[in-house]
Amino acid sequence: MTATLFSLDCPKCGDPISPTACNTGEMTPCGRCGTRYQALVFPAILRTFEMPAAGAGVIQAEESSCYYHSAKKAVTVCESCGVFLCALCDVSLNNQHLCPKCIEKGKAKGRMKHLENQRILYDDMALRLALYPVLLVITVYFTFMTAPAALFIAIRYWNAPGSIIGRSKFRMVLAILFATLQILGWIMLCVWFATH
Amino acid sequence: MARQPKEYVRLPGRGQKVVGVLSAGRTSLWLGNDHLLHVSDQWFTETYKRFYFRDIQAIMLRKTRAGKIINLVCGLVALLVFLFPLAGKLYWAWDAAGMIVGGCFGGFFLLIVVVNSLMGPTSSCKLKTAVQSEELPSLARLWRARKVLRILRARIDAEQGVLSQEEIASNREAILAAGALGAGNPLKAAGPPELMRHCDDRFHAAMLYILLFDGVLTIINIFIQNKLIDAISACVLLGGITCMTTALFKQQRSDLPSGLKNLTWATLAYTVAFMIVAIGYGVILALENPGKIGTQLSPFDHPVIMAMDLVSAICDFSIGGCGVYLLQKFRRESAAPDAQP
Repeated sequence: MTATLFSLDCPKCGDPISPTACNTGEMTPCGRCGTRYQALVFPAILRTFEMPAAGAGVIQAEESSCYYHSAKKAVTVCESCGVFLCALCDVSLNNQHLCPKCIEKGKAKGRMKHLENQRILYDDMALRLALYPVLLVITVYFTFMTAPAALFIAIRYWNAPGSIIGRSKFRMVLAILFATLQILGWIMLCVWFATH
Repeated sequence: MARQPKEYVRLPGRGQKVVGVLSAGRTSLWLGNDHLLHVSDQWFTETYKRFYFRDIQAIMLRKTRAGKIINLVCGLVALLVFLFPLAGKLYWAWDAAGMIVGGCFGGFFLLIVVVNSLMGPTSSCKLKTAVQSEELPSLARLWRARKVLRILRARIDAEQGVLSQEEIASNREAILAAGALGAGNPLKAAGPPELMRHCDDRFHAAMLYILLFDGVLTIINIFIQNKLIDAISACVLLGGITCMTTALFKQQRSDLPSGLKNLTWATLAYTVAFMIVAIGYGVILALENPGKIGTQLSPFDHPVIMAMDLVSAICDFSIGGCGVYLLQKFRRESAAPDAQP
């Protein structure tokens, strides 16, 4: 039976890969299915897991206790709110020691960029709303609704955080421009109908 | 005022995240200070996944055949689309407009083949950490994946250090002695790795024997045009397609040799291609010979039918013969360990 090294398998057939196939810089064929693959392995694969400490020791007299577990000894301080934390409550994030509550609050308020896993792109929404009805031609009549909506979104969410990868306000500007032009077009059409 | 440096730098490549057969958004990779950011963009929402350089355990790059399949399918479609107006010109005296329209459609598919070929071989890339294994769809081309991996490797090596082959070899014994990864890693302590499923090869066998039988029927059909043979051929075709489809499902993640798996896929490609050609030519024949069924026409009077019958018989015998040989070999090998004490 083949022993599992690093628990790395052939990405196609799932056969355990040989250590000689790692970090060679070349494609190696799988011994079973013949699929050519390249395996890059890093030292983290040798790291062993440490089970989280269950909150080191019961407190002795005159020792500080954890804010959340009064019977546990405090080992560090939350760098955000300053409460004492035991080993169980101490969360190391981005080289900071934080308590679970601060992390929760930070995530909810969008203060912790590193914890954000989703963002709504209002600039994309506004631009698509301003452009798509015109580009699809047959939906051009809907622009009397979509243009004001695009303009509203662009202005209302001008300061809302955009993409995390850092995009300019170009889409917002373009959306405002197109939406304004469409609204002006409708106004001119109404005026023309009224005068003729 | 000095401009603030960008937090993320874009890495080459953009891909489609696919769930089932539907696209679940575009994806891209961005390089951060201490992590790799995987951005998945669907409609108005961006979803982020961070892979910290210190946590990345391995990256697996695999060469895939998706590019070749796209070329094969688009090439076939282009050929058919080119042939159709040509047949129109020969048999129904189509004018130049028909030829131009056909040529444009064919050209479009040919362009896909050319662009796909120029973009190079396709690949699939997976990134592994201690708790997850993530597909990176933006690295779907081999040259691009290699370029990105060079950048990533430099960053990961700077964070974690370099793991040489000697270290891998020397650590191997220690890791295995400590009970593989089970001792330290609770996530891996569940047990031995999942073994590949043993394939029930009866459907493969049925498909291959049906192919051989179809070859015999095709040879008979060259000399004798009979409605009974036509009916048997139709039943054989239906049975073959059923067995082939089931075999394709059964062989996934099974211990069946790759040769036999590929042969099943080749059977599918051959069946689809042959059906398209046969139906296309059948329509032309039906228009040319109203009131006569295509199969009632003697191959000796129609060289195209003769060529199609011969090609079909050769394919049936070669695929069926090779398949039966591989299947017998696989069965012998599967039975061999049981015979040993």
